[in-house]
Amino acid sequence: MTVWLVLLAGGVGSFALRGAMVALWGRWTPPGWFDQATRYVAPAMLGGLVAATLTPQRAPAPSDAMALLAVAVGFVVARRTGSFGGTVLAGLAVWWVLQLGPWA
Amino acid sequence: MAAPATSHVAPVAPGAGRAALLGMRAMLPLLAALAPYGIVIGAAVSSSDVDAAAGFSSSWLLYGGTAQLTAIRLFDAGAAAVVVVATILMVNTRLLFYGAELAPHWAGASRAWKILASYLIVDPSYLVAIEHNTSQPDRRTQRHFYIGAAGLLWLGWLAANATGLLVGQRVAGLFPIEVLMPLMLTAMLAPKLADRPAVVAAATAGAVAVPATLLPMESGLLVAGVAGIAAGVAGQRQTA
Repeated sequence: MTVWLVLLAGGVGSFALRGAMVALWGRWTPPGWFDQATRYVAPAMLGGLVAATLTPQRAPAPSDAMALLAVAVGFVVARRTGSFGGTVLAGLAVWWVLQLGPWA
Repeated sequence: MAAPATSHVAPVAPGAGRAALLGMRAMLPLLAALAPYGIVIGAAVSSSDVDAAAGFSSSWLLYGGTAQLTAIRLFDAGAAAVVVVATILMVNTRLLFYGAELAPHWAGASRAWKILASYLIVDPSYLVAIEHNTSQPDRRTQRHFYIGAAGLLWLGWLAANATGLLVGQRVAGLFPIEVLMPLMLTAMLAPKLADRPAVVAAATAGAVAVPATLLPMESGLLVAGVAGIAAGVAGQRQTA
């Protein structure tokens, strides 16, 4: 129930963000500092999300280090190639190989 | 809505159906690139504790990959409702600026059209539209093109999410979500690190996010995001 209410609130709020400037066109423009801050929303949120998803929620296990290594390799591939599929596949390949080790 | 005074180079405006088809064709390569991401988000829903119907509905209610992944992660971690809503809205603030950029092109449209078109604003539909608007001066044609492109994206995105939801459980062993999720986020993050302040923003948010996982109500991501944005703005002021 709460999940539905949260999604509904998030959906209505997101729609308001999408439509606000379309509705207010010619009457109001967002201030410059807001525009400036928005430029860093994507790198900040994605950076935070990557770190949060890699932080163990319980006692650390070997699989946490394996995930970290897989993502590190993925990051290098992403920076070099800029390919979404290549990044995911390279990281997964590292993960699959690590599964074969005696620590897994 | 007067047609712009024709100069000798003005392209001929295609009909409504043809313009929409052109929009769909322009969207296809982006959709093909995004489909795997949509599938993995569906798979993330199926392996999370979130009810499948609610999880799938994030695709049309929030309609944005990062916001959907954020919501699923926060639900799974047991975040407070207000924290989830606030984080979703922060992730989606960029849409306000997309709307601002598209608004002048839509000024002559009906209210119902504006509501539908606004709902469909998301990164790929915005990118395809602004690109097309530079080469096609006719506003009416721009709007038909947009609805074709954005409508196809919407259908494709929901289909990708549904596919992931259906196959997710079956392939979870080979494609573990705890590795796939940070990998996909990394793939999205890398191209955003275009300048120094962006790197500072991402690194600060990442550094804050780890200890912030201990914060109550799972508010850590929100705190890390604000810290990262502030660091990015400060970094930009310094270099400027």
